[in-house]
Amino acid sequence: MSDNSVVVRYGDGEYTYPVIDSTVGDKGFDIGKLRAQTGLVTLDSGYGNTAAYKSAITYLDGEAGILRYRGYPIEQLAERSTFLEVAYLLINGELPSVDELSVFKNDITQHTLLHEDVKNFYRGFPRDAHPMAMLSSVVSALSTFYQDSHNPFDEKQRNLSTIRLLAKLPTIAAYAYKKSIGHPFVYPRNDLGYVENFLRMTFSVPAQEYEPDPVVVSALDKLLILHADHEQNCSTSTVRLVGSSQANMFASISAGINALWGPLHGGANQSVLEMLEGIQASGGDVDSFIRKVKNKEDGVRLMGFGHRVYKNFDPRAKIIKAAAHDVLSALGKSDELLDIALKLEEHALSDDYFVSRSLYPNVDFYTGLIYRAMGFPTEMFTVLFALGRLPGWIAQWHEMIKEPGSRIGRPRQIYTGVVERDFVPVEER
Amino acid sequence: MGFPTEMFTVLFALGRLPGWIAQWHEMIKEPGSRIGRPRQIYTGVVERDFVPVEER
Repeated sequence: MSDNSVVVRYGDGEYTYPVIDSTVGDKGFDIGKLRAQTGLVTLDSGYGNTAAYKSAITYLDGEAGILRYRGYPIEQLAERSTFLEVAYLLINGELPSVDELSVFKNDITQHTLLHEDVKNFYRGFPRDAHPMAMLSSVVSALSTFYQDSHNPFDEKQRNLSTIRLLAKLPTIAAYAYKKSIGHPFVYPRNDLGYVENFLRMTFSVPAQEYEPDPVVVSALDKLLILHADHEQNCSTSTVRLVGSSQANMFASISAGINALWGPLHGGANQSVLEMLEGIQASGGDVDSFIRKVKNKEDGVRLMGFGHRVYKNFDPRAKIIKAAAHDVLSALGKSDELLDIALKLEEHALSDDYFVSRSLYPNVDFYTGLIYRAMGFPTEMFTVLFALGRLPGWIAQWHEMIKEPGSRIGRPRQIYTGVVERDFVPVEER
Repeated sequence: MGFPTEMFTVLFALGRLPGWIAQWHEMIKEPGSRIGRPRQIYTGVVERDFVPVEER
């Protein structure tokens, strides 16, 4: 048997499809001619066996706990790089030189302000609007303000949209938070770094300037790096699919934000907090909660432990665990929920039931704790995920649009409905 | 009818809306419905070490 092709036997025919090599990880086979040759289509629920694209951006191996952006291990990037540098790397393929980084940072800094009329959108939203709905709406609305950068095939326009999105999303996110608590919007300040600026726009009020703690800034920068890309996940695939119709970048990213809003995708770190609140509401007894988990009692769900992709350990959780403890001790907050979380963590790391099932605290567990300690309400957690994922979405959008022979994404179906029947006027039914 | 060209796609959306809603209902009611999460064939650099910006 050859290992460079796959043979499909169907009816009397035998059809050969070429194997497509990867540099590392899953190989595939190209079934581009399958339907024409056999009359068959493939059915693959959730696309779990379907490579949507060849991609050179992110490699992950769930069994081995490997995550690399453009070949660089996530551990090295989280430890030694910065979020903006990682954004540059993901989008451009290489780490920037000193000059390239300085131009990139400066461009982003110059675009952090929102058009004053954008504030009217926030005025229109109800006060209890979910910040993810505000985030996706305002990003979509950016396409009405920046009609000079819609053409996906013009490199200058692509790059301008890229800078505008990276620069404005923290402002959009902070305004969404301000709207939800009825505080005045805080304008960006160009003398601050990306993360400091976001924290200040979020937490300062006219009556009280906000001094970000360097430990908090560093932890948030790391968290954004850890979330910056995860290859063809649901929101990224959404960005690519919408972008494949040649819709502009704002429209594509807005769709990705909506995909991330779903509880099966971006909601995991919020579920961790809801679990902790559940434990607190029932008296804060961690031992009894753990007993219920082990007895698999109805309605008791352990959130933030183990991972669907990372079977043995989550490389991102290893990195962020230390940062989580740094932030908690730097902020020195006494908080019953955080105490419950730390007890739960201690249990999980020492209890054989958890260890043998690989139910280790995952990235969402620590992320939820850190965001809570920083003072973010749970509704903002997914917004922070979106801030982190933005460069990944943009990078994947660029790769898709620049791929020679890139086509509109247009799956097939297997029709299972009524074959044919005649229309009957309403009076005769 | 007097519609400007920018409105043509809006009219398309008006027409397509019931189809989108019907397909959304079918998807969400499907037993065992899963999150759409395709795979990829990775063709990039396998592994390399980080170099600090001053040394690039």
